[in-house]
Amino acid sequence: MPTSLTFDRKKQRALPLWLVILTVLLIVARIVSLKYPVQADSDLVNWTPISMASAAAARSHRPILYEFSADWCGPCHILEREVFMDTALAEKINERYIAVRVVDRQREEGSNIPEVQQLMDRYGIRAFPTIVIAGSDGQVRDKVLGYTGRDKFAAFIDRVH
Amino acid sequence: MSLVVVAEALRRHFAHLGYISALLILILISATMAAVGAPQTPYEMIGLFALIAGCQLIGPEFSKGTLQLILSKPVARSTYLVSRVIGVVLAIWVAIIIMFAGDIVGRLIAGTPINWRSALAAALVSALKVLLVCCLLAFLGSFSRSYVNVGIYLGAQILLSMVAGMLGMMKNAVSGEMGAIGAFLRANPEVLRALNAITNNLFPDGPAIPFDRNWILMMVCNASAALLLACVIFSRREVPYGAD
Repeated sequence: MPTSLTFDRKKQRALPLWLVILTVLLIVARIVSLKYPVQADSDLVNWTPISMASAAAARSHRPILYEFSADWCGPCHILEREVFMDTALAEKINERYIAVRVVDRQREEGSNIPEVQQLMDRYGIRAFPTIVIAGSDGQVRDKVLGYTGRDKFAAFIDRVH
Repeated sequence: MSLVVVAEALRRHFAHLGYISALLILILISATMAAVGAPQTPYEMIGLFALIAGCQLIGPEFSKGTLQLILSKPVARSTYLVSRVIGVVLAIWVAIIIMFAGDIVGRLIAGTPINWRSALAAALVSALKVLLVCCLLAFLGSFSRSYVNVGIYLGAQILLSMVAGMLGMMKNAVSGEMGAIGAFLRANPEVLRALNAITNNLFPDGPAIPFDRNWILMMVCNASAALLLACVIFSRREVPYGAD
């Protein structure tokens, strides 16, 4: 009979059944959930494809706002949530700029498509997020590295324009 | 789960001068950063906090000889391990809650708007990362001694990112000795994909979408699997008498 002094050694080394069941259930749920990826809330900025940006900027006499980001970049997602999904700021960006999103895929795919890499080399992008405001001729008007909050970004948009 | 072990783990943290000092610094930093318009930045520091707290799981107790005394009590090894992990995770979650409060207070003082969805998402990401780090450190501590678990953890993180970076560069090579490796990697993209999947599962970044249920599920699932593996190894480990 096990006592506090001579307790059952087998029981002492037993695995917690609840943890085994929980782990199995979680693995099954994860496999199932992979078939149903979560859709991102669509942001409110009208993004223009890279190839059409210069022509659109020349036609509308608006500068281009390039957002350089990457999927693995945490601050980029905060920027997207706090700025590009914000009605007032998105409206301001749509009115004043031709917005272009440039996503770096080097980490995932080993290299970028030529038009993305060309822009990154041209504007010397070394970190994410980086926002570049450029004219239709490609000349840089302003550049901001990193995301330091919604208010500072709003001030940056106003300042450049 | 043993509430006594959980309570003891919490008591050890709350009574530790280092924990209290770190907590005060984190509150101050989170309030200041929120006030200057860079909220959520201090959550990155919680990872370091989790490493410091998590590295003390099992390994040091094994080396110091205290584990032998604990295991002479009628408590199941797995129960002890799981309870210790829960205690450490709860202690760090308390720090996250206090940082969250500091963040909100800082914004209120500065008069900056509060985006509750974003603030809560950042706190949740931080809490789940802490859970995964602690479970991984418990797993690594279940078969190692002293503070070797944190060494393996950091080593693996550095090694995986280095290998992924090198293979990413080699993938573009078309001539020379690297050309053959590049051709192999281009022909077999699943090699890089598998490496990225391992890195993302062990050392994940935050989710692209706030409250992404798949990301949350990945974190909880990986933490649970790491803890189960830790229990399997720890329950079979020989614990000789005496310290190292």
